[in-house]
Amino acid sequence: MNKPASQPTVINVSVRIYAVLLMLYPASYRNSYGNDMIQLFQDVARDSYQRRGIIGMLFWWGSTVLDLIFTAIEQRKEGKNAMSKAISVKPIKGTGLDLMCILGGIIYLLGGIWLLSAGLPTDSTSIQGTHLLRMMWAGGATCGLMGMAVTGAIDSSLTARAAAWLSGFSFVILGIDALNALVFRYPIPAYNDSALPFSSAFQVIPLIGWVVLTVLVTNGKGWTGWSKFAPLVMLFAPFVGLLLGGLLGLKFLPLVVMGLGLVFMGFAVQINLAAKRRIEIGKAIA
Amino acid sequence: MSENTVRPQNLLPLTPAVFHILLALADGEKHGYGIMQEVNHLTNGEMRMGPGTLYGTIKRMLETGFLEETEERPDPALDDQRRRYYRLTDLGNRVAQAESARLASLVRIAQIKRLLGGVS
Repeated sequence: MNKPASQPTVINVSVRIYAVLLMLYPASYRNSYGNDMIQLFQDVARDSYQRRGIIGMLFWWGSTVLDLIFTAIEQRKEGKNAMSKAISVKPIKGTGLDLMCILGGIIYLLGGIWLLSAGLPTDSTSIQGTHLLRMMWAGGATCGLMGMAVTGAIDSSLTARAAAWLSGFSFVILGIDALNALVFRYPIPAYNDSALPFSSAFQVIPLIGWVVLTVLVTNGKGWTGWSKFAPLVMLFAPFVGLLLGGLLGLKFLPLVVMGLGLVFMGFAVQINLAAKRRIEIGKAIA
Repeated sequence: MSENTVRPQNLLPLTPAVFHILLALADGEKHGYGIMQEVNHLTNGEMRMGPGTLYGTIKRMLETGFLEETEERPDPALDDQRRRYYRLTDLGNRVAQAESARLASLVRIAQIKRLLGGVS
């Protein structure tokens, strides 16, 4: 891959992020075309930056993210069909949850970066944008939770199920709250204010459920390796964000850190879905 | 199924991405970025494919037999040897011609019905 020494940092960082995001494609597709796609991304990024600077890069990123989401889903479907033809394996439940979780995290992360640069939103369109961000986070977290359930991270004990239901129910309420604000355009003065009564309670209740889940997943055998720490990362993300944001004077840093936490969770779901699929294929071959 | 036994008309209509890639490669082999630039140029910037769309489409076109990878380089001295170049196969060429003819006949109909200028 060409990487001129004089290339701006924003392009180098973008290329590295894009290379990581290629993990969303099936491994066979990535092995065949991954390097070409990175090269193409870099070529167009360089052109866009030379022509329109950061704005050009942002536009290129915007179209690339959409392209990535749609084509990753498409390639996964094609890969599954090809695999199903070769050996009879039922589709794994939950495929796509990882992608939705990562997508929610990326959007929340980008939203955090936008708010960091733009400051506290005051006009109604920007405030509506923050409700969309909240909805994306709640949706991503719900997908992460469902991904944990289908890959065996959450065991069948009453405690685990109760904690999962508590978290899931509250994530959904948070999402509905954001959707309510988004659709009906409540005159909400700040980005994190609620449209529903008792909504602050719904921000605490999932925390209780999530703490229990974190303890169970970290100590359980359902998820192994680095992925078992994903709930812990998500749990600490808002607090780390608040602490760092307070120290650095960056009010919206928690959104960036929480977005990263959600992306981490998405990759943890992805690696465990892939492991589950390998087991199913192994059984089918045996 | 041999390339020569396939009737190009049976493979029509093509998706815009496939037809644009066929058009971009009609005058010689190109690498991915070259194809993207050519499509951008041909459509005055109205069609800009992302890396996923471009290589997903190229993958399907290779599988269908519209394209093939080539070791030839237009000018090896000027280009990166690690880039992969693609060119039209005979089938790809015939399909591009058939789709062009199909679209041309639609344009003629549109002109007759006065939906386009140029014909009275």
